[in-house]
Amino acid sequence: MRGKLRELIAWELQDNWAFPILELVIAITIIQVIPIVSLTRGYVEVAKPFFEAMLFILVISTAIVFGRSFGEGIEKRKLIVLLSYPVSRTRVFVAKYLANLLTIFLIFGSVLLAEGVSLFMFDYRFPLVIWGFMFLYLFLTVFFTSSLMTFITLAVKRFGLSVLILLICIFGMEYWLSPPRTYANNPIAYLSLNLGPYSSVVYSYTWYYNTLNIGIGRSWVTQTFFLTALGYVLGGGLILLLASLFLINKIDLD
Amino acid sequence: MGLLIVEPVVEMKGVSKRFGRILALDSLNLEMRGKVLGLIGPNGAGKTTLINILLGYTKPDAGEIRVLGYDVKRELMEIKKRVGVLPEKPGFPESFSGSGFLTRVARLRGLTNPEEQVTESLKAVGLSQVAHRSIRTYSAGMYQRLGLAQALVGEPELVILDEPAANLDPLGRMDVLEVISRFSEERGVKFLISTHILYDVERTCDWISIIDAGKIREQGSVEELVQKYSGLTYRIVVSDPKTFAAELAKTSYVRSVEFQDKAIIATVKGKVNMYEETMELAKCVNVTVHEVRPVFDSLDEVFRAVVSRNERETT
Repeated sequence: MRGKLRELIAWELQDNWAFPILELVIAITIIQVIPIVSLTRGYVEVAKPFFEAMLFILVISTAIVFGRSFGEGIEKRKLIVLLSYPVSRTRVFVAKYLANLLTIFLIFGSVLLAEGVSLFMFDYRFPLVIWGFMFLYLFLTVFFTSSLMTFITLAVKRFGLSVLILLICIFGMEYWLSPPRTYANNPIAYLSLNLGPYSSVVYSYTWYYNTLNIGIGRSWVTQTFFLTALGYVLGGGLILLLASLFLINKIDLD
Repeated sequence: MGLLIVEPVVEMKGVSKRFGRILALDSLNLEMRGKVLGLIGPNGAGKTTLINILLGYTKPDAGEIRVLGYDVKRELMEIKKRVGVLPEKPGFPESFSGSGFLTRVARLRGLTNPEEQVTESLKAVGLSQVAHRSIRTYSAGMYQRLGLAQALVGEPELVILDEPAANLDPLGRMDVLEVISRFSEERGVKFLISTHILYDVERTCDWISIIDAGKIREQGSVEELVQKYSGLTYRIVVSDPKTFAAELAKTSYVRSVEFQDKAIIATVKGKVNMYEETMELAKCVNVTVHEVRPVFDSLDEVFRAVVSRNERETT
């Protein structure tokens, strides 16, 4: 049982590797690392630009990797081939989802690693825990985006169209929820991909430092905002994921 | 006719499927028995939809389907374990090598000796020489052969091939037919072939189903169908063809009379005991009968007759 899931994940990872992932990693690293290594001073210079600059890149990369796997899989009849073997649709879905998630984490994990190595080379004493929070940000953003993308792709069964719909959804939401339409003191503002994962990380980061009693005592993110943001990203992502699982078991592959 | 006692390989009862306004399958009933089964029909007849439903890719709106005795709705996994498939226009992972791909397929099939099975499948379809090349570099013909190889991995009980000869040159087609015949005769593997190429069906299949406009219009063994549709045409050789043909044309049961060399080719209107009628008429016009026999058409003629009959009925 587990062997087949492992085999399917390996299949998907090998197929993903055909995509120019190495080039993508190098491109993102250059975009991300060069500004940091030029003059790094601390959290503000490292973590915040990462969160802000990476949102678009994260959304696009996640959309491409997941859309290619599910949408192109249906369009190019790769999914039909896979489902002709003794594996269930649920197992194929789980394997594809996990493999794609792993692919995204490998891409951006490499970028974070490159960032860390570059900071080490410049002998900058940087709290390593920040990397943990960066990964948390990465996870929250990727989890929500991938679940939304998977759902859209399975609903429209087209790669290109699903990427377009995802971008309209996400950046449309950002447009309507960002100032001046909505301000940061309104919980609705936290139902966005820009503020949701970021505010969750800021709250967690503050909580961590307060708990250890080693630093910052205040944060602009209240518990209500934190729960709204986390509920939106994790709860929304989970609902979309379950809806996608339902969809893959129902759709006709013709 | 021992074949008819055997449990059907594929059985469908009242299966319907609609895509928007298009009724792809219309209360279809099907029973396929034999070793090599052929599914033929014109474009848009519903062949691929039927195969997609058999394999659980598409869910029917109504009806019951059984493959190798297993219910598609409830026992799909049991069917998948026993069936190899070459879908229409398959998408294989192009970054894999031919052998690498087949090894993964063998593992997914749960085979204990994947390498051995892969080598055998590649050999059977003549791809051993290019096994380690990336699938991306394969020609259309090689790609199709690879499709056949992945369907044969693990020697399933039934292999379903949707347009297996697509993209193959005549020699490649012959090779595929040869593989089908060999696996069927030597190893007892059953095949279900959906194709437009009637010659391939006639050469390899022992049972055919003709589908048109979402319904099965005719089914049975190739011999039965050819006999059924050829039973209306007879070749008659007599001592005085001209006189006999003139008299024959006057009878009520004959539709047309033609000459082919010295023989008379007569087409009758319905079920007639042509042997008795010919002998009686010959006695009346005082000619000697040398030969009376039905003319057996090819499957091509049967197919044309079935489809055109359906067109007449619908108009």
